[in-house]
Amino acid sequence: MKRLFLLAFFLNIVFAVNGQKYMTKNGFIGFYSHTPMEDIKADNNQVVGVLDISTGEMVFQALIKSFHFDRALMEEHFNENYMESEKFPKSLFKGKIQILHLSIFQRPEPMMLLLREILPSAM
Amino acid sequence: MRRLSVTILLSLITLGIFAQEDLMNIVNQSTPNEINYTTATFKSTRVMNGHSIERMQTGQLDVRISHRFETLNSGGYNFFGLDISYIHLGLEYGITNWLMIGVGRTEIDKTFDGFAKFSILRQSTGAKEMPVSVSAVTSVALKTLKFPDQNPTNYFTSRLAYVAQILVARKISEGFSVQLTPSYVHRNLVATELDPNDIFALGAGARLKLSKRVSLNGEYYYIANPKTYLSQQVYNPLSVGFDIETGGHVFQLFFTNSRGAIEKQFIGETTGSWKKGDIHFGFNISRVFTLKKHLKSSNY
Repeated sequence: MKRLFLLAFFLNIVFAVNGQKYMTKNGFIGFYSHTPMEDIKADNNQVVGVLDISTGEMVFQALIKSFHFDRALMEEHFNENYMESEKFPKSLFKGKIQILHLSIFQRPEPMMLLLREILPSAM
Repeated sequence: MRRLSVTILLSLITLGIFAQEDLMNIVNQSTPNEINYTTATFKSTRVMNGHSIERMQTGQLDVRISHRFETLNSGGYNFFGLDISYIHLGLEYGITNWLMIGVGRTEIDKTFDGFAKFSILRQSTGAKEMPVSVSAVTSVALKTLKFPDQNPTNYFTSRLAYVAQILVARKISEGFSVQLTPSYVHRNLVATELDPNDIFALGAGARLKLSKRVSLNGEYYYIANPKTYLSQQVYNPLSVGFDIETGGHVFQLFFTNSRGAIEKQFIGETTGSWKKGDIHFGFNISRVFTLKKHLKSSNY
């Protein structure tokens, strides 16, 4: 799959917090869906994420209004009609990587393999 | 032994919770406190007849088709007004995220019109708190109907009328928005010398969301000048109707006592009265096209 629906935040600026935690403030989450009429696609480049490599726990959070679309109207509908961003402004993911290989931090490709393993439906 | 293992287990759980909490804190602190601009105060760039605080975003083209039919009290012979319609066509475009322009043509007096709408303040919460949105609208209308009397010298400027409006709106809650619109209309030429060239009016508009896609809108303009002209009696325009949103379209269906769809016509030229039953059914159709895309394609 060349186009990945979800590309977690490790590939961006990652820096250590307290030695064991890695975090980013400009992680990326995007989604894409093809329809005959028009493609539905949005990017969010302001995802905040933290990974604790000692425990494998990870948390990431995105502001719904930071998803940006090609079409301004689509973005408005996304926020107003579907996501109700006024009521639910943030989206949070908490998880734990069961088997964490530290070698994944040395090269990005194994990381993608791992992500594909843990998020098979999203890849 | 058992007690010890329970203690260890408990402390492990606590540690685990602590670690998660810790990560949560880091994430929460790092999530940017962005300026949260209020969106969709109104669904369209018009409340009904008059402008709303909304504008086209950068690179978006709005094609508007508006009809006002004849009055309901014109009787069954005219199919309650639906036999006769007054059409306004408009092309409106967002140049930047604070400026939109538009041109239009209406059948009444064969009038061309053009406007510019400037967004001055935007209602927001978060990093910047702003209680209201404020925009300014300035428009000009050019009447191209042939002068009835060709004898005296007719000047081009006599065909022009100017409008200036300040729009102040607030989305009070998710489902309810209000707007106040102080307006000034200047007509270069009026029918008689006792008719006012300058008209001052205060407009008020509101939107009540009935469902995710349907809202009830109302709009009223109070005209401060005496409304009994030598040439005609005019009334304050009142419009009530619905906004129906479907994807890229917004349909506005309403009843109004105004025949004209542009400011210069519904402020100071509304000759219909709700009391007498001079109620026009009207609709606006807005279709938005994206001419310039917002975001550069990402390569994932």
